[in-house]
Amino acid sequence: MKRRMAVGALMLTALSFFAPVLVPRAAIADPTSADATVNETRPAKPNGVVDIDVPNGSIKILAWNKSEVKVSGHLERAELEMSTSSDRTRVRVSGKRRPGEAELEIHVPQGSRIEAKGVGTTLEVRDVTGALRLQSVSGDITVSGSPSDVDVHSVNGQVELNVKSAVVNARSISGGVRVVGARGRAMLDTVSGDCVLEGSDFTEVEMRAVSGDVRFTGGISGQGSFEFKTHSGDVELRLPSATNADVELRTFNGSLESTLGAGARRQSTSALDFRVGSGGAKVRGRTFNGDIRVEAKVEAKK
Amino acid sequence: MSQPDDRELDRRVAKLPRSMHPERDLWADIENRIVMPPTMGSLAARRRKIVVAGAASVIAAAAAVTLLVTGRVRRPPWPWPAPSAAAIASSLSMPPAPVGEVPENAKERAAYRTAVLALEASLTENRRYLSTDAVARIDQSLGVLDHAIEATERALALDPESAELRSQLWDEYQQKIDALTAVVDLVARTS
Repeated sequence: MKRRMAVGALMLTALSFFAPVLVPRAAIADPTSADATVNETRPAKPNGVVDIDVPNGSIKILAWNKSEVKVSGHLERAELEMSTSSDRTRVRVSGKRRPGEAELEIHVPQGSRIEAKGVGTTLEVRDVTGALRLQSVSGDITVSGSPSDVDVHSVNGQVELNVKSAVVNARSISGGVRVVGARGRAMLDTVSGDCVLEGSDFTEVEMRAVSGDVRFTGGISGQGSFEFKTHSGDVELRLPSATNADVELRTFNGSLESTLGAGARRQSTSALDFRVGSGGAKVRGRTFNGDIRVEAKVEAKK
Repeated sequence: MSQPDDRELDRRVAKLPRSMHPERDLWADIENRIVMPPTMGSLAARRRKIVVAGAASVIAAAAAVTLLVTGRVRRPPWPWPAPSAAAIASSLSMPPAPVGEVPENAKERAAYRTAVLALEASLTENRRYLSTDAVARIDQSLGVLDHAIEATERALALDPESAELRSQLWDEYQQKIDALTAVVDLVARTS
């Protein structure tokens, strides 16, 4: 009897000693795990931060008018952790041994600031009015709505923004970048792909590509800097006839053409400088191998 | 009165953020680690990763600052002069020409190469977190940048006085560093 009790005590001691190792971390954190349908809701501040970290899969972030963050969808070989602290809600998906997948819809308060990142993660954001900071290595990023400002980086994905934002910073390395509806300040950058910006009045723009076209359609105002550069590709600028700007265009191996600026001054086949209206904004277009064309934007009939 | 080069630097400095906040709430991570200390293996691997990434970042940052400073000196003023007709004519049948022969570019190239090497080392460290397809696409785009740089270097070798080509080359160096920095930063942050 004494021996049996001693063995029992020994086993209990051993169990309590190894318990922290044997009980998986996921179980301690009480996550939703493995292949599962998830439906979790947490209270959140109307203007709080929603911090999303999903390594692989597809994430839709949708605004709603509730002070809650709701995560619903499907997990494959992955587990979900949600936590809240002061003004921040964290949504984290982690794989079990191998990288898992997640197909999630995340409803957030409309004024939330979104910070989302992933590796092979497609990100889509709709109707959020807070600032967006989105990053994915190999996934496309799509945004629509009126976020206050947008900062989007993808390495291998396409970036597609339809936003009425005053500050836009959109970058890809191996994908195209297209921004429609913006105004104010915009910076678009890609290596392999086209760079397209269409919007209303801008105060400062920088668009860069290496292998791809750069196309801008919009108004320019103030004395700001507007730079459009590519190495192998065309630069196309469509500006309102009433623009006031000093324009300088350079190509190393291509043609230059402008239907704006009555007093266009052609320096050589590779350089063209001219003033539109009373001048002011500095517009600079440059390509190494490609054409540059500046033309009047067709105004929408009122 | 500030010089055009100073204005370019001022413009770039003005674009820098006025303040930097942490990417996310760090307290939850700190709390987790107090409750559940990581295993020795993962801690060692993480330390190694941080040391490598940190060293690479320090070297890259130093080189990038050097590049910025030398760029400040070298970057030609606006407006860019047009490339010469001779350079354009010869660019149509560009022979390979080593740019190392252009002494004015030596400092920029050295700073650029140091930054690129450091960032590439950091990228190599992080490649294992990416799929083969993702790595191939990144390499392809970095190749596109290298090709653009080589073409501009060849053109500049044929027309070493071209301020516009020098400005373009400077921008392409910067673009390569920006691209590598973005990839390294994003991969390190997401993996």
